Amino acid sequence: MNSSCNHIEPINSRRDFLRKSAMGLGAIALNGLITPNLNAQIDRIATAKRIIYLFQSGAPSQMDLFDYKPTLQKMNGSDLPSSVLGDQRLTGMSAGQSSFPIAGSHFKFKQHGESGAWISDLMPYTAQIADELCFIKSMYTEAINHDPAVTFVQTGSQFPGRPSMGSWLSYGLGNDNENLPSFVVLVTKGKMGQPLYARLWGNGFLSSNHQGVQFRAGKDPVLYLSNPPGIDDADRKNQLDHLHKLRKHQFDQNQDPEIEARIAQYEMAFKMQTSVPDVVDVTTEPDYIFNLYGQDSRIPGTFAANCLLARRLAEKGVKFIQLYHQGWDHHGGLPQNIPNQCKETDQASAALIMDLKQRGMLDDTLVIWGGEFGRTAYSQGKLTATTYGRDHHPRCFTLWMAGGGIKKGISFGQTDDFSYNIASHGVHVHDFQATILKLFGIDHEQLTFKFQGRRFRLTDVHGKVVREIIS
Amino acid sequence: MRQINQIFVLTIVIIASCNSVPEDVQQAYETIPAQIDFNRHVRPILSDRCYNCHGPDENKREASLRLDQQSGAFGKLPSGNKAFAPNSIGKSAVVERILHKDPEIMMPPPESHLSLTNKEKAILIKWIKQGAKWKKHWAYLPVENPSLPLISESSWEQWNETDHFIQKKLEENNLVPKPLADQSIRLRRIFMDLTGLPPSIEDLDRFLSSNEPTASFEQEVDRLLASEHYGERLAMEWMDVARYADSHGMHADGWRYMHPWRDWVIKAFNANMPFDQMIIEQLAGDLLPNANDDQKLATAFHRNHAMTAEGGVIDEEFRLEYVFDRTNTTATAFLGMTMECARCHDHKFDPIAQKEFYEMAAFFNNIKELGMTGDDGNYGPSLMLLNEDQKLKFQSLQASYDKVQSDLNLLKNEVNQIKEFLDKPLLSSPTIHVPFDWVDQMGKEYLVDRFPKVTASEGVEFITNENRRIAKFENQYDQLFIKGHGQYEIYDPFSISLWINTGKADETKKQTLIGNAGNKNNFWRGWDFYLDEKNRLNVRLIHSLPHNYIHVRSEEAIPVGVWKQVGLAYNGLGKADGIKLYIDGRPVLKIIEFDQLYKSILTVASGDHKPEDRPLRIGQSNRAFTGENGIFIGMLDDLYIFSNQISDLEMNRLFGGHAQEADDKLKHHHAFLNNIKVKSLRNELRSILKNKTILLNDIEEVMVLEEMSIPRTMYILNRGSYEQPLDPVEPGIPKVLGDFPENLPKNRLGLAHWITDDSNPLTARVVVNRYWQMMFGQGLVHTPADFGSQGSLPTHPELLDWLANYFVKSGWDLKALLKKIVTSYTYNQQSGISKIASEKDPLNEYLSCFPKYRYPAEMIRDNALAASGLLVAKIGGKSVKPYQPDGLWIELGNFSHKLLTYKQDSLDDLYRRTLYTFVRRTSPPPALTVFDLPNRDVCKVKRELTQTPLQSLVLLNDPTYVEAARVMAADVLATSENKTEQIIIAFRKLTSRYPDETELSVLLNLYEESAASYAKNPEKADELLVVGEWPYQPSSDKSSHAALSLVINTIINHDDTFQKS
Repeated sequence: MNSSCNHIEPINSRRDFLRKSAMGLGAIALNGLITPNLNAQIDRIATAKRIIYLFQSGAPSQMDLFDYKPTLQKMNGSDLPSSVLGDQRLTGMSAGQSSFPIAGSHFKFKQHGESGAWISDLMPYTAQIADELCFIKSMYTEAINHDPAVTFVQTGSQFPGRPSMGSWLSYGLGNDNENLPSFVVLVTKGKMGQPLYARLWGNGFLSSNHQGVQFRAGKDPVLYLSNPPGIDDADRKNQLDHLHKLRKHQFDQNQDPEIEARIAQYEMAFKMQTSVPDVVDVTTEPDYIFNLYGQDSRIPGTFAANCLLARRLAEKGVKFIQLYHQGWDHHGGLPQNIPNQCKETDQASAALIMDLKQRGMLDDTLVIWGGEFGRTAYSQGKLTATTYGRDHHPRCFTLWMAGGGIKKGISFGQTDDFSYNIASHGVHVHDFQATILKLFGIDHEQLTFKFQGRRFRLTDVHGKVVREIIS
Repeated sequence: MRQINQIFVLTIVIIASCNSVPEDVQQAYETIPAQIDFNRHVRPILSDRCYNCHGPDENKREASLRLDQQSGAFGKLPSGNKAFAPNSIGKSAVVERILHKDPEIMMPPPESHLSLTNKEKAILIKWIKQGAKWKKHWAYLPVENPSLPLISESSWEQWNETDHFIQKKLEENNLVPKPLADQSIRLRRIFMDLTGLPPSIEDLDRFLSSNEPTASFEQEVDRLLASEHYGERLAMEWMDVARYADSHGMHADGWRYMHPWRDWVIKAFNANMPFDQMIIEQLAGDLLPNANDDQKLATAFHRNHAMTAEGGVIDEEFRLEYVFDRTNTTATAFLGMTMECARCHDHKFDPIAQKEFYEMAAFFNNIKELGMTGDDGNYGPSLMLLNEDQKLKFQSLQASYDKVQSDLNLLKNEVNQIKEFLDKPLLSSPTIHVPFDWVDQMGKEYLVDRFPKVTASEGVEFITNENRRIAKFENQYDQLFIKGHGQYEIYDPFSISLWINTGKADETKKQTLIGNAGNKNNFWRGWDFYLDEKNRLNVRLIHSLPHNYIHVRSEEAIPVGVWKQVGLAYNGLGKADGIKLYIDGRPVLKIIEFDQLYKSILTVASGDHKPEDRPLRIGQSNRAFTGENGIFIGMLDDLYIFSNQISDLEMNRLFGGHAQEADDKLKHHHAFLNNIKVKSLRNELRSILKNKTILLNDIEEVMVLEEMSIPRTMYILNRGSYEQPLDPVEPGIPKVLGDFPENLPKNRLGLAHWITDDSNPLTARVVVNRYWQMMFGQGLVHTPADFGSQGSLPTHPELLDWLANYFVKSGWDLKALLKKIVTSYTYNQQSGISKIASEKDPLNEYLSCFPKYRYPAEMIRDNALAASGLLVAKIGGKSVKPYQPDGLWIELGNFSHKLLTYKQDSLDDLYRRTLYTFVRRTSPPPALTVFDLPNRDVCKVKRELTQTPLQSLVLLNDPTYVEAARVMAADVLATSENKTEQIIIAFRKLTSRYPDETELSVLLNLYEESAASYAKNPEKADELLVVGEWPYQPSSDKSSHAALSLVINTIINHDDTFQKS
């Protein structure tokens, strides 16, 4: 029996339960940094203790936000040179076009901060924190469509079936928190756009206690959290006390350690019933905080409210906080549609950085902002004086990272004059993932899980840590 | 560089440090088994730690050393050494390398993170010392027929053969079996394991009162095996293997219709169809001689995989993903092989070459299917399941069609009235004639030739060319639209004539002339007339791609830069031979590409699929998403649309001044079409066709397998990528399993026969292992998906073989196999591991007790539904949507119209067995996934067994369990007035056993305290007693009713309710 096939290891004691559960109490502290599954010791100089990943689903246009390309504006309307276009595949949405007219951004760019980062006027708040950020301009991926691309960023594979990054971290690091899951997912409410999939926070072949737990705006922040109608807190407490007595009685008879584990499971469920409503209740936040995050943050389920909630979860020790904001898929009418997307995300994203900083948490909290691929320099559909669209573009895109041991105020990697090809220091999705793990002190080659005979990794058999961006 | 270095250093080291085994390894040496077995002890180490670089993968093999083959392990290396030299640790180079401290020499190298433990080093050394006997991997050896081991302990009971094997191991390991379990526990086990439902109190009492427990137990087993719920329970497990779901799985994750296949599975299990036959029908039922509908339906097994409809994906990339999914699923489900590991390179651990992966995949590559389908709905190949009534109707319509057709055939040569048409002008009048002369801007619209319903896009130019007034299409966005024309049904004849002058620029693209065919989200429904990549004329009448349409094309191509008249005429009879193609007024030779149309071709909208009067589009297709938009570049003139089939003569007249005088053949055709009798018979045919279409139109179709007449060529794909084909391969099986039998066809059917052949060493073992796992929670091989060198070894190899043998000899009789297992002593002993056993055998691999583990998600819910009496025990049918928190679907995506929001069902459908719960892959039912229901993305043969607080929240708070509690409480209150009795009844219904004194008093106390609390707050009782959709059941004492509900909810949360014990 190979003990690394942990999905058939039984949980047979309270201690086991705590150790293996995603809700496990201080797994690291209890076990002296020896986690159940990570072969290697955690690097003592891990710089990130938690991550808040602001995933911008649909793929924001890099050349309209951060990757300033005056050449595109100069050459607006002329065909993208075939030497730039190359012969790589295009999606079925623009491959049928007989011409590929360059679409210069309609938005103005300025340099900001001491770092002199170029940021478009669409992101005024982000501009103010430019010196905290590390822009990776040379991200690239392999997928050209949303489903495979999002799945790739979040699970390291384009096709369903693999564990998500958050569940890998939960598996590798355990949980420091007694009452909250280690991996929480927040989706902006009421947005439409490219779909999301539960598999993006799923556990794949890891055990299901590593899957992300979605917190939702509304009565039940976690599914099935509230007592049913007609059973109040006192009834519930009394009910669980009696259930506990039944278990205790069974345990007295046969000393079965599994029963202890079950008792712990029910205690935690009960604790969650109060700890989750507490953490999602933002009414105790002072006004200046709401002003910082923007007035949207008073409306539950908005991106801004989720950013604020993310900070509160981070404070409580939640390790992986995954936000999703849909709606960036601007195949047409980009100049008309992107401003609102920016408005929904800009202020709160910047506020999160500032808020973490003022609490002294930015140093060990990694924040990431970005999508699944980039967008094309050429217009998808007709280019007119007032509008253009942009198709999917896997060859380069921009995202930013901050805190958690990432260098501040830098821009890494470059694209060509068209933001079409990478000019230097390409960062593959697997490199990006390896770097994230590294910040947590984990060697991505050692965080493995043996499934069907093979040791699987988040980074498959690839990935190189981008040391240049680590401070 | 490293390698050269190593060889050099190695020689020195060998001389320097011969035979010095470090102390820690020496210590380990003392603790390992006395006799080292290659398969049991050595291969797992070699596989896990060495094969990465010294295994089957040729491209990654270091130092030409191959340790997965005997010749490699014992042969001479280029350096002159041998990796393993039997009996000599001095001559075995391996020993030096594994013991060495220098990271440059040490094996495995430290950077591989695969270092050996002392115990593992000791095993390798001992094996060498004992003579290093090599064995073929156990799973590829033929299944043996082991004799029953004798048990020396006379007091142990062996109820059947399986107990001999189990108890032999117990004996060897100084363990003892447990006493026989309590009667009611035993009955609960077989009820849950064989039907997935708990015994009722009547069932329990019947069994408990029996005077002949043994006979009576067997009767119960037989009764359960004969129950129709048996098929449901077995199907439940099969859904994971078959990755069954009710949605497509990727991107839009839209609706699919596959439940008739699930019904087939239930039926097959209930009929105890021999399991080999079940495998054959599911893999290749369509290829069986005279395959019936059921056999074809079985093949839906291999259409259950996830599919994408994401706009813009590369069709071939995803089509191949589906082929590979079938390959991997087949290997996992039936062979316990991890074939997918050989997609990008040779397998790292098992003898499967990359080429062999593609040889296996070649069996599944011949389905005419799409990589990119539509957001909602099924895509062919598909099977229409007609009920008896529909079948009769269809046959009668077909008979009358054939009759009229033969009457018509008799008229073929009847010629009359030729003279009449000779000099007359065109007889048919077009429904519209657009000369493309002028365009007028009216507001934002550009009206063509003053027709209010014919509009042009801004860029189309109307100019004079070669003395014609024509419309010129230069830009990719140039196009025309005609509203109110072109809505033809499968039984409507129509004709088109158009002058074209193509300025084609791209030879990889099609050019749409005219049509209303749609896009992927409306099945491409409609018709289109276009020039293909080679500028040949093409016509398609489409109900749904890729299986329900007609496609014909001309052999002749249209030259570039020349004016040509092109035409089509369709007779409205639903067949490819009813379409004629014309160039310059003459019918041209036509090739039939596809000829299978049997449903409506009227255009429908994306999303709701309701009729949509889509305009005709000229110069561009409606396809989108495919990378191929049918952009026409060139000039058009004089479009005629007729709502009848015009004759050759008429088409020639439309060619006009350019034509020669009409010849006899043309006249003849004209006369024929206009013959009164011909006309009337054809109208009759169209009307029968109309009735046929109406009959078939609304019948759903299940996606099934169907072999293409000409197989596709499969290529080895470099790194597994569709873009990088290397050499072509033939269908085949991995060589390690022998040659593909010559008497079998090299197709799916042949493959299925090979898989189920008695001599296949894997299939029967893999299957019996999974059913053993179903009964004991753990297979004899713990890794049911992997019988390869990285998998676990069987804990009881002889038992595995005995069972496999028994199964095959019984004619793959699954009921017999399960009966054998549940009537063993091992299955009937008590649960609860003893302290001694838990130290010696913490995982209870040797089964010194019956295992305890949580039931699968489905059974937890079914148990509560059944115990409360809410269960609606109907067998089969469509998937249902019971309670689920609001908003879960819409918050993730809105691409699927049919699955936009979760619409909870009502009445009976709320209480069906969980097997029938709708599984949407990207948002699977949360109350089930929390109990490890897989999301069915891929084939899964074993579920995890996790334990999380979220599970407790479900059992405590999900309305399913609260409603079950309050409904059961009402029934129990009506049965007995005694509180103690009430608790006993409820406890027995949920756990099948009696509560003991303490349990009873704890629950009674809760009951009384709660009753007092509800008496004080009657409004709380009112709230609790209406949870769920089940009507409130009035009771005389609401506070007792509410309190008992709370007590029952507590019992639902008791381990013995949701755990097998």
